[in-house]
Amino acid sequence: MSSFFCCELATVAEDGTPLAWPVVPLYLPERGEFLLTTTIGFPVKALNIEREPRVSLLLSDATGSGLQHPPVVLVTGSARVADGVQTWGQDLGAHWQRVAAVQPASRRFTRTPVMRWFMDWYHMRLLIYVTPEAMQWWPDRGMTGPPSQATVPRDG
Amino acid sequence: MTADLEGWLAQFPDCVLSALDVNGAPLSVRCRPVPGAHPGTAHLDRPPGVALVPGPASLLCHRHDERLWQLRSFLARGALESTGAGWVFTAHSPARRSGHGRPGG
Repeated sequence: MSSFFCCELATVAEDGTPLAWPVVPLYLPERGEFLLTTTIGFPVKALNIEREPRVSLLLSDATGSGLQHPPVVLVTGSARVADGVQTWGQDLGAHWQRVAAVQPASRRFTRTPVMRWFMDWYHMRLLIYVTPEAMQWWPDRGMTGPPSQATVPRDG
Repeated sequence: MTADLEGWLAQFPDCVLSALDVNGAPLSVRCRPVPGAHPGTAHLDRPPGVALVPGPASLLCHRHDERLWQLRSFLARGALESTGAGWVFTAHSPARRSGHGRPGG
């Protein structure tokens, strides 16, 4: 799953409509969680999670991954938003490293003092952690065949 | 209002349908929409193994290049109806770009 540059995060909006956004996921294997972040300029997905923590992550666009026959993976689980707005920290640093690796052009947002000043809001982030509870996967993007599935065991 | 749905869908090979499961949790699947007879509607295949329920739904299309740049996306809110073999999505709000289209966003 770490080959995918982005995935679609689905949350439930205030009016009950499920909405999806493309986001950059970072899997944290030592914690069994996905880390996502969002800028304070676009906090809707975090606000949705505060109301309804159930989410899904669909890994369905493998553009840039180099995978020849990428599967589609649907992860369902629960999400939580970390307290406070973060501008730096170990997890956020790992997120920015991942973004820089998969999206080299994003470095232009920090290349000059002017850009750092102009884009400061973009680097003020809310951290979202997704704990997987179940996974389904299909062999191809068409999702035409029956999926394989697995339940993620909970500790304790 | 919804006539632009067809125009947006024509720009992408497929899209991401998000709807609720029987327990009210959000789920997304990738599917190929076919414009319906009425403006603002699209027919969708029913992916095997995913139990979505009729009701509120959205369609997201997005794409990027090999270096996660040249981003383009749109999102349409609407509703999902079952047709037996598949689904019909009816857009209730204008199709528009989602967020600022930046996956890190």
